Amino acid sequence: EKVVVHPLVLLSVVDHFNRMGKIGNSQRVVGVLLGSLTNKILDVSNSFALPFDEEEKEKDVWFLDHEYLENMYTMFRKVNARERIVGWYHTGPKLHRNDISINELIREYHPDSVLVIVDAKPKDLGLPTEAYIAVEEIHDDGSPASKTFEHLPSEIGAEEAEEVGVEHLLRLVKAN
Amino acid sequence: MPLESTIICVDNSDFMRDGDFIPTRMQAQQDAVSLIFHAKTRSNPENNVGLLTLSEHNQYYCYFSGRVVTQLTSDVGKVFSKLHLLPIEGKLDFCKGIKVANLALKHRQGKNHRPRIVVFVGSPLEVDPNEFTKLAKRLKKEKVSIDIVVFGEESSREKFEEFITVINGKENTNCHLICVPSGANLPDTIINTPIIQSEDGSGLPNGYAASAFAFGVNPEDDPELAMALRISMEEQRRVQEAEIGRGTVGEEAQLNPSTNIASSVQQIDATVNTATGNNDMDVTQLTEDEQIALAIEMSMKQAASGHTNDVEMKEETADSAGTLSNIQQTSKTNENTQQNTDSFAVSLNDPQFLRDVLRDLPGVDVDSEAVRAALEQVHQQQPNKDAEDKDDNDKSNVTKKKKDEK
Repeated sequence: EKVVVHPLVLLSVVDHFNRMGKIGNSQRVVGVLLGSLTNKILDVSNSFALPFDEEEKEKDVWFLDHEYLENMYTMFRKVNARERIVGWYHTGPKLHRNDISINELIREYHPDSVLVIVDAKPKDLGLPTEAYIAVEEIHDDGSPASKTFEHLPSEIGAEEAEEVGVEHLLRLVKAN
Repeated sequence: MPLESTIICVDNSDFMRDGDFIPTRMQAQQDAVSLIFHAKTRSNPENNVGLLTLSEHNQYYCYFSGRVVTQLTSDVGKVFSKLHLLPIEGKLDFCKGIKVANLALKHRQGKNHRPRIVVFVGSPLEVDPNEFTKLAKRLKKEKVSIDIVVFGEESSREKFEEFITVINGKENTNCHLICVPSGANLPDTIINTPIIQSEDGSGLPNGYAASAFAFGVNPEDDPELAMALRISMEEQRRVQEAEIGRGTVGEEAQLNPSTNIASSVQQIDATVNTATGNNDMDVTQLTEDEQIALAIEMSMKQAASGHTNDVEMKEETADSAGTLSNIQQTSKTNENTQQNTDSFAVSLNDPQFLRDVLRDLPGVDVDSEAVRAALEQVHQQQPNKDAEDKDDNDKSNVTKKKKDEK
């Protein structure tokens, strides 16, 4: 499987991150990814942010507003029925311990949910995204199977219309 | 009636299978939760309630305790449907549950609501005492009130008492601990506690009996019968309390009929509750029919000077909107005079008063045959207020009519 992330998603995530940064919340932000799956290629075309909170010291304590999720998703479905919930994102920059349990919550909406970590403040050149999918791992020593994340190849792709938009943006950025 | 957002934390650990509460602890808990939900929403329709599970929910071996089942909402259906589907499993994780509830309250939509957590604990508590006190201090700092209901489990009682004392601190921020012993009826016990009764003693609203089978009648199946039974119980109680005597109400400001009904109701609330102490039920929360019954009863107690008061009240109420303020002012003026009679339905002697009351009743046409006939009856049989034979008939007529209107 491959994950193709559209530029709109990157823009939304970064905007979300900056929004939260402005009100002083420098923790990570979490949101839902929308898209479609065709021929083993996952197209992530849209996203939206979710109210999310977790304790600094105790990462096990977290809260995600799933009613907000459902309401927002219903509204997005009215705009484009083909976009389904395909996973979720957060701004990392790395994996956290409670990502597995948050993933479980999203899996109630889509069993093959994908986690994409979008690094909103990348230090070096390269892809800002990393995609993971949860798999059950069977230990050799017979202890009960646990879930971990497995890495998926990801890339940035766009439709023609989106490419035009991105080009315009780049031109503006270069001019400044 | 403060604005409150409440998160109810339900214990759904394996200990809830125990049958020492009838029928099972889980069911008793569910009844209690619905009781609290109704109490909160009736006390203020803008209140929100959410639901959260305290015990671990094992799904693919990752622990999921402190799961928010329903977000803060005032929709009964949402909360109840999830409540009845809760699985019983796992072990209680108190601290985590409280912390998640705290987070959920931080993200509440009604930012000016007061946050409150109601926790049900029915299993032994295993918690690090340091962490416990730290949690209590944190909740106190964030001004979250918490009510703990411990049922069926005595071992953790002292720890909770400490918890509550730490949270309450010097000023009482109304956090309570209620211990319910095994075998008692959980919803019934909670009714009499400060969880249901808010600070001004407004108490449990009508329309909901403590246990579902109070008076042998299920309020859901036959609400009218249940209500009728409840009214007669209350009449009895009121008769007894009237003998205890009433203090005078400090003078009520002249109620301007054109003011907001809500504010006048609140005013009356305050005076009624502070002054009499008889009214342990919030008058505003009675249904209209019960208010009428209550008002009639009260005015019946003030035998002699009934007429003048009735006339005044009539004029005051002439332009007030709706039965509500009518009844409120009736009870108010009745409270102002101190009368102690035991005879019932003296006020019905005054045909003008009766006519007024009936006019304001929704759906009653004052000029209709039946009403006119009844009023004539009242005219006829008495020149003198003390004739009481047919009054009882009238009363039953009137009540019967009222029941017909429903």
